[in-house]
Amino acid sequence: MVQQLKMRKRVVLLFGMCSIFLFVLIIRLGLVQLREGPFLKNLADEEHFRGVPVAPKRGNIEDCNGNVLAMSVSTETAYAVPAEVKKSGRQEEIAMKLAQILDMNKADVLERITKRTSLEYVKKKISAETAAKIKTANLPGIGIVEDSSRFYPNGPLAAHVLGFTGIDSQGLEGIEFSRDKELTGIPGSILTEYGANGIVIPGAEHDFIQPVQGNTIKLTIDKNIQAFAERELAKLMAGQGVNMEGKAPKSASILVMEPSTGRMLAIASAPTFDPNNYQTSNPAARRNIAIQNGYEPGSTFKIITLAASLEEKVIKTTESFTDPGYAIVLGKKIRCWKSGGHGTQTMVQVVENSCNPGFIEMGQRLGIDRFYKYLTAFGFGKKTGIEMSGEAKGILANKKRATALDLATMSIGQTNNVTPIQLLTAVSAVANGGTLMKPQLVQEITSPAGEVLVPFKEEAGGRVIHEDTAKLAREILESVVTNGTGRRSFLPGYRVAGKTGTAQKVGNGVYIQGEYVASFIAFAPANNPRLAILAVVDGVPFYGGVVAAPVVQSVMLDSLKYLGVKPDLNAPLAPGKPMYGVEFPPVKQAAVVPSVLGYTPAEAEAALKKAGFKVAIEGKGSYVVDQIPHGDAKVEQGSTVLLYLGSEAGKNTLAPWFEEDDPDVDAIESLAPRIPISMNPVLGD
Amino acid sequence: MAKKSDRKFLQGFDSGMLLTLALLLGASLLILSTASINVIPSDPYHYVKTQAVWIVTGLAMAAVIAALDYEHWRKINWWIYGFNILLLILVFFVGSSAKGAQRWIQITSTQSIQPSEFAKVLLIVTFANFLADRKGKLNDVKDFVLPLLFVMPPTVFVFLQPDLGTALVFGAIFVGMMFVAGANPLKFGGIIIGTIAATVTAVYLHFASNLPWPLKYLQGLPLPLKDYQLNRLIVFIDPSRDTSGDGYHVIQSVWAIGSGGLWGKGYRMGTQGQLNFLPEHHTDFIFSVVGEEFGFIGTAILLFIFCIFLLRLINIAMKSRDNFGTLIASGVVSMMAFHIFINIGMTSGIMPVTGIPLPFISSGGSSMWANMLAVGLVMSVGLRGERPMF
Repeated sequence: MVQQLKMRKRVVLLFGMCSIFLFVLIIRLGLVQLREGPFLKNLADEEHFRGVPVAPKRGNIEDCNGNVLAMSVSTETAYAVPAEVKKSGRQEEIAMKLAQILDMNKADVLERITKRTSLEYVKKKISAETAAKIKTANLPGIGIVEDSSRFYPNGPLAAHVLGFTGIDSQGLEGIEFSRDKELTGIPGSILTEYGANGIVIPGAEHDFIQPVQGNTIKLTIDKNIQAFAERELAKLMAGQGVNMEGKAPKSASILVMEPSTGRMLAIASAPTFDPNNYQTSNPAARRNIAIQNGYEPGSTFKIITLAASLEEKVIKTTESFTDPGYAIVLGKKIRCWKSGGHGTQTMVQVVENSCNPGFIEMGQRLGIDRFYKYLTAFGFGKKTGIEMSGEAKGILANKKRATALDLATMSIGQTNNVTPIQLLTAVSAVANGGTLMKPQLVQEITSPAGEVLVPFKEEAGGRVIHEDTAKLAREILESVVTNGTGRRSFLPGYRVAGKTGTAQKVGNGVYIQGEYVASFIAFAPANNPRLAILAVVDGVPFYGGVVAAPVVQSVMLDSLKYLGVKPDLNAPLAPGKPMYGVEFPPVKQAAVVPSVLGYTPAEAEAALKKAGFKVAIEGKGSYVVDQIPHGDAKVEQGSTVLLYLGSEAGKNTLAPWFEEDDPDVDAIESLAPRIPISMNPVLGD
Repeated sequence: MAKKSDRKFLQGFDSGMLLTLALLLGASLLILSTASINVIPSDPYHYVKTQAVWIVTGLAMAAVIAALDYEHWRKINWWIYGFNILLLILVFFVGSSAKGAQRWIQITSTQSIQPSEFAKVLLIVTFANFLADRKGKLNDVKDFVLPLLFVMPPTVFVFLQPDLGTALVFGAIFVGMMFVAGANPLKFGGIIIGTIAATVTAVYLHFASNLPWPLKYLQGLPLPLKDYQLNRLIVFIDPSRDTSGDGYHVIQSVWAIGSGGLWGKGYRMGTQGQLNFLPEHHTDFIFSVVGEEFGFIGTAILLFIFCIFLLRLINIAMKSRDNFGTLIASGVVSMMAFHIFINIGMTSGIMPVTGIPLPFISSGGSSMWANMLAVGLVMSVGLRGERPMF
């Protein structure tokens, strides 16, 4: 009995041990099922549900009037479920048939359809016919799913703005890239339940998750104005540009803005590309130079100098200024583009004539601090924030190091590097009454049903100059077109304000001779500007007033008519007569400058005079070592050709104010090392 | 006289145990009706039907065994022991192999039995007799030697089949019954813990590499285990090392159980089991289907029924009229508890995969019959018990 009692005690202990085992199990089950349950459920679901993704229809991109610029068209994609292909045991046969239908290599197809994945795409973006053939062939494990492919109905129109999409309809450039999220939509999928062997469960749940179409992006771009701009670019690139003498520029861009709101109505660059076939295009052509390239703006920049001077009241319109033909700053002689100078003029005439010494005077009166204040206020040296990738900031000369000479060259649009969009934005501030507007590209975002999701919102960057200053500046700029260097953009019946610019190009650390960036910026109607247009023609041997102004004139006229802007009865019908003391070079045929390098001064003078050019001589020596413009350059007949004699004159040197320890010296060196200022007499036609 | 004896006989009838057994058997059919539905597509209820046949025949066997006085078995104890050894040896000669192990004896063209399942019950009866005769002389280490020699032959034969899982069950039966028989807890416990520690060390040394001197001479210690058994040990230590083979079993099972969450996915709504991601989901891994389709609620209820069932067996062990009966019931408790712990522990990832079924639930005739015989034996003890305690 004692032993039995002892045994009973042990039996109770045995049950105790069993209870511990069961307790351990229930704890373990609690952990697995309750704590890790949701996580493990996901793992399990992923294992047996396989979705064939159904691409959502990408949203349209439209212009401001709802014209479709980019749309999605349905295509089909052929996919394979390799496990089913292998199960059928007919992979060779399937691969052969597929290769035949899809016009692919049989070995490639075989590799794809037998890959160790749950789902493999065989070929994307196939036509409906091909898809139908595959469906009829009824191949086991091969399926067709709807896909969408991007189509740009207008071909290259606004290509740089729109950008393009890749094979998976993902935005790669332009608005396609920056608004990819809004355009993409939400992919759907056909969920199919698969067994452990990779075979679709017969009669298993096929869940179709409807894809959600992407939203529509409505741009501020106007298809017609964009087309006017691109037409002009096409003419230029085809060597058909006005006054281009059959020459084509390296590149060119035209930007059209609505000054009051910052809406971009057109951004066109050439060379361009067709986003439908972007793969075959030259990558350089895909560069959006209107946004991504900086250049020295030249005289178009004088608008900023003028506006700042008027705002700070350092000049009066009635005061007179005598141009001796040059200005001497820090011992350097900066010539006016017109040899011999413009003589005595009013400040208005200084602007009309784009007189360099006059603008240098304005810069000197403003001083470095005030000048930089306006550079910053007008948005130079920083991105405008336009919705385009890769926007350049431009480069301003280091303020701490800037000398009076820098101030002088900056006043006439040299030294600083700006982008076309920056310049247009800044000039639009003058046009709209003094407020710097952020350039806008997106008008609004709407749902596929047309409901406005994100309305247009203009963004004002702050007042730069007073309303009356802006008004005064507009009037002066209007007379540039009416009476001055901008006559080639004169539009009978419309009040156009504008400014020409010709800048020399920097290459390999020096200015490239005989190759200019010709530009013209204008806005109209001058009293209430609806449009501001900038044309930049790069790599031409011509001046801005000669080749860029007619481009702007053409786009401006068509656009104003298109927008229904009625001609102003008070506007002059013909350009005014040159004012007293102002000599305009008559509009003449361009002529080729003969090269006279190595000639004696007398021989050179004779040769140039024979070709119809005037001659000016710089330096002393027995031979011509350099000439401006260079040989073969095309300039207006009767222009002055400057000859350099002696060995030093033509030597390119770095400006002495760039010190070696300047932290910005690399940037500045690459930007604006220069030949002596005195050698740039033609700038600012 | 007979009437009085009948009443007394019925007094010992444990209706609680029968009720829990009925619940387990019902659960088995219910679970098999979902877990085995996709095993033979042309006959979705094949395993439910066969299980029902085994349950009915098993219950009949249990009734017969229960009706017989268990004391009779003591008289033919050594015959039983000999029969057990004979069966296990027979497997090596006429056995058919499945999945790398020779465990089955073919009876008809479609039916075969697994002697090792019955060997467990036969061992319990014979070992209970052996220990009861020794009358508690288990105070010293040298007293452990003879019992160990007694269980050694059947265990070694099962291990050689090879059937590591069942060999381990033999070990559990040995430990449980020795403990109840009064083995000195310190000495016996020390030996058990020492054995487990030595085994773990041996396995560790087998897989170890880059050990410092002098341990490096023990690196790669040879173990008397088959490759697949070693592999199961590896994947138990790190399932991600073999996600498509044995590790796959463990991962799939844990995913299935875990994905059931609190309420489960519902009857026949499971995915891992229904879509065949989970292997052996109607036999060794049937508990994973319970976890997947009936959730934590389901697994907890099943564990609770098992717990009550074990409690009823313990109750009978307590009220047995003699030590032999107590030891038989204790042996059955040890066997069942170990099966439950190892099986559920394996499916939930805390025990290595050893391939032993879940009592009464897993599909399988040998297992069902063996468990029924065990239940019959305990019932026989209970019916003849003298002191109802509860």
